[in-house]
Amino acid sequence: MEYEDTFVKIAHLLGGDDYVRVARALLNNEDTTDEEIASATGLKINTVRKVLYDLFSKALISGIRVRDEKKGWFVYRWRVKRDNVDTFIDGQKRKILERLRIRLQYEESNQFYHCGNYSCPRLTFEQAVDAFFRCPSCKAPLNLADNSMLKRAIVAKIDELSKEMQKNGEGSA
Amino acid sequence: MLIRQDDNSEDREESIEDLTSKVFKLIVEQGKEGILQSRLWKELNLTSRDGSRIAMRLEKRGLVTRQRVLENGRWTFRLIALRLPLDTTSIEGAPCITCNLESMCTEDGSVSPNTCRLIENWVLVEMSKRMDAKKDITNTTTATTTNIQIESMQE
Repeated sequence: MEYEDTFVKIAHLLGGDDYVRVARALLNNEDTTDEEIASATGLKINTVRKVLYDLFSKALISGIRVRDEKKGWFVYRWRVKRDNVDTFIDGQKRKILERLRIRLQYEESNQFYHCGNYSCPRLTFEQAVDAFFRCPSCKAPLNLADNSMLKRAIVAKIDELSKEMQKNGEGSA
Repeated sequence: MLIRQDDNSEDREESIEDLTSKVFKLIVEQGKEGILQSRLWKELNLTSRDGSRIAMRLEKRGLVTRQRVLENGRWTFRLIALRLPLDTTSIEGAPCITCNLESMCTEDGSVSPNTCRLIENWVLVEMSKRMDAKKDITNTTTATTTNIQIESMQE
C-alpha cells in the first residue's frame, strides 16, 4: 500500500478491500457509473453504491447527473476529487492528533480507579470517592489503576503523527 | 466457462494493479531524474505491452509524466514522478476515521476522547506492534551476531 495512489490508500483506511476495488475502478475510468464499476470490479451493485455514497459524503468524489441515452433515465457519473484527497488525510491526522493530546492531558491530570473487569468503566479519584470505592457496575472494590503504559502509547503515537505530518509538509503539528 | 474467464480477467486486473504500485515505487525512488521506460521493464521483467499500459495508467492518474527521449539512437520514454503519495501509516487502523459518532466527539461531550475505549485500544495495539517489530530486529541481529561468532570460532 505504501506506493499506492493516495486515493486508494484513503479508500483502504475507510473500508478495506471493497473500497479499494471501487477506488481503483474510479481512477482507471473517469466519469464512470455505478453499473460500470460493478461490472469492472465484480462487486454487487448495492455494495458499489454504498461505497460511492460514503466517498461522496466525505467529498472525495463528485457525481454529475446525466441522462442515459438508451434507457432515458438519469444516471450519475462519478469522478475522483483529487484536490480533496490530500486535504482529507491532513484533516484526519489533525483531528486524531488533537484528540490524542486531549486524552494525554486527561490521563496526566487524573488518578484512576478500576475494579479489574474489562467491561466496567474506569473512575477518576473524585468519582471513586463518590462511589465509596466500589464499582458502580459490578460492586467489586476499586483499586488504583496504573495508566503509565497508556500514557507512553499515546506519547509514541503523538510523536509518530507529528513526525509524519512534518515529513509530508502538512504544516506544523 | 464465462465465470472462469471473468475470474481470470479480475485476477489479471489485480496483478496489473500490484505491478502499477511497484512501478510507481521504482519511479519515485529515482527522484527528479526519473527512469527510462525500457530499464524499468527489464528490472521488473515486464513485457513492453504490459509496461506501456501501466505507464499510461500512471500518467492518466497524474502521478508521473512521460518525456520522449532519444537513447542510443532509439526513441523511448523517461518516466518522472510528479507527486509523491502521502504517508498514511500513522493513522492506519485509527477508529476515528470510521467512527459513526465522530461528529459528536468533543472534550466535554458524552462522546469524548477522554473516555473512548477505541482510541485507547488502538494506541496500545500500535505500541505493542512497534515493540514486537523491535524484538524481531533485535532477535535477527542477535542471531546474526551468534552465527558470525560461531563461524569465527570454527575458523
